[in-house]
Amino acid sequence: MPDILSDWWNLLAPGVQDALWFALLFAPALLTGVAVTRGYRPYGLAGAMLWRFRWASLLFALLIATSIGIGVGLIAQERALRQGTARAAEKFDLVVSAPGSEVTMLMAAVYLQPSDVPLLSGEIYDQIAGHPDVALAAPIAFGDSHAGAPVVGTTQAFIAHLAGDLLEGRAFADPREAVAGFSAPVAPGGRFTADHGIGDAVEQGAHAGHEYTVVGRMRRTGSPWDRAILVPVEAVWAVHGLADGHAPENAGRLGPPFDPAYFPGTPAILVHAEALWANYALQSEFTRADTMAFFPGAVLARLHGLLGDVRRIMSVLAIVTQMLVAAGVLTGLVILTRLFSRQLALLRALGAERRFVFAVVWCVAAALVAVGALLGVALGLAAAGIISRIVSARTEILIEASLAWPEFHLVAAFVSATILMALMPAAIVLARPVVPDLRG
Amino acid sequence: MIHRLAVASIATAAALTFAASAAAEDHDHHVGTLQGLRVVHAWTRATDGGTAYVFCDIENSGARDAQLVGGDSAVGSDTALVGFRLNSAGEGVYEILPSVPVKAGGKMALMPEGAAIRLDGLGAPLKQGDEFEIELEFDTGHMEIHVSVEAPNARAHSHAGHDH
Repeated sequence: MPDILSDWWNLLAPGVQDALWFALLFAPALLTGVAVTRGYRPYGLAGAMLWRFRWASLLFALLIATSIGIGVGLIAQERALRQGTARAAEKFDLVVSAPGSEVTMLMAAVYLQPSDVPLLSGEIYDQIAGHPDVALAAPIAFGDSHAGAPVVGTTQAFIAHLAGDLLEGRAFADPREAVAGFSAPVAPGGRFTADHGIGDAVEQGAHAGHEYTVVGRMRRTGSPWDRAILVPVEAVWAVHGLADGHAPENAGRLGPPFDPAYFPGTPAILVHAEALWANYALQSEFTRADTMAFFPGAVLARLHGLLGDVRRIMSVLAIVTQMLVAAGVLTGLVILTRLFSRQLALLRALGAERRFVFAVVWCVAAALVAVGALLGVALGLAAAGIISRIVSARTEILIEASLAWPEFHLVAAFVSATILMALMPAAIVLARPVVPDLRG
Repeated sequence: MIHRLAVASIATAAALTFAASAAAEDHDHHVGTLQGLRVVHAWTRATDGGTAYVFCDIENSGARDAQLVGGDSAVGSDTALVGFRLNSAGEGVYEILPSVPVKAGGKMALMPEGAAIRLDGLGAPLKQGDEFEIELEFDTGHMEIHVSVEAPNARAHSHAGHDH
């Protein structure tokens, strides 16, 4: 692309670039349509032919719809997954944990997938919380559960950071109080006892005697934290028979500052700094022999990169499938035109211009492609919506599939390519001799 | 015979010394220093596009904190210190950073999906195996470093892990 054109293109807003791409990709279909039908009104006759062979036409349209639907669904689903997982991790600027796998810690601390990880000491927590660039350092103590929902020990400040003001009730003010996530299995006013462990490793009754009362409910975050129940981290330590993070003279206190000598440990610490640059400085400072500091967003971006690679490969397969289906449909159309070759020959015998007959046959093919493409978009969106709901239900990550420009670009490219290919059956019909066809 | 052996030994030793010094020179090529600051393994990815991101490891063995504030290079029309952020749409975006501190006795890594030096308006494609110079700007002064152009999908300098 020449520099002047490239500079002009780069100055355009992304939405305008997408709209222009769509127009460019759709233009061949539109121009072909205008050129083929110019001066004629072949639509009524084309419609009648489609109706006459309606079941075969419907089958062709459904074949096209299925192939388009796969491509559209694939793109919409991958984007929905990417956006959903990114939204769920948005509030986790920087996570500090014991050295290990960043992906494991991402899954454990951000997506609350059960994992057995080493604990960080009170000294480390103190260094992080006391750092001048740190605005919030919240312990995230996971490992317990109730009715399959994670019970996580943390601080009031973390709840405010994660979900803002509570939807109802108030924050916990006592080690026996809890705040429920938006879709947690307990509601404000409800009582429960946490089980030790989560999933298949759960030990029921291990924390008997420590009953929590739910006093508030968080707003929806679109993340697995919606199903979690948040309790004071002091309560998590206490039910495990450990010190509660505070010196005896501060007994009953909730939240920071914690006393390093009485801090039993936490699997992860969420770190929030007001400025992005400070996060980089903190990551460097706390990436050392005894700690691992990582950006969940960066780890997620790498995972998205892999997801994108898979999507690209599958998109190529989907495009190849679409082209094969289109070629099959058009071949079928050539065969179909033999069925009404007598009617077309009659038209020509009555004096219909060759271009008019050409336009009628092309219109039949173009209508099948257009209807199939529209149905395919609807089919792809519906399939992505259903898959999104299943994934959301299983992971508690809010996945919402919607249509965006890439899908429209795909459909425009497909429609243009197949509508150009549809010129072939129209030309083949014209090549047929009139007299033998009239004799049938 | 002994004379021949001695000559052969000296020649072999000289060749080995030359090779070692060439290798050391090659390694030193990847190191920049300035008042206790040391920058190693500067690299970028091969690209045909107009933008490239330069990554490197910075070590501060000095007694005072330093601030990386940006850079300058002849290969691009604009240079900026940037930081990666994943937005809620799941898209990675780079935001301009005013500076990044490198603590006394500490390290700072500019890396993919992290902080980086962004070169905009590249005058020519960057090909794998190429090298170019970039000037890093610290609050304490400027440092010239060599940047290696790695594969388009590289995630680290090809000498990463070598002890310079």
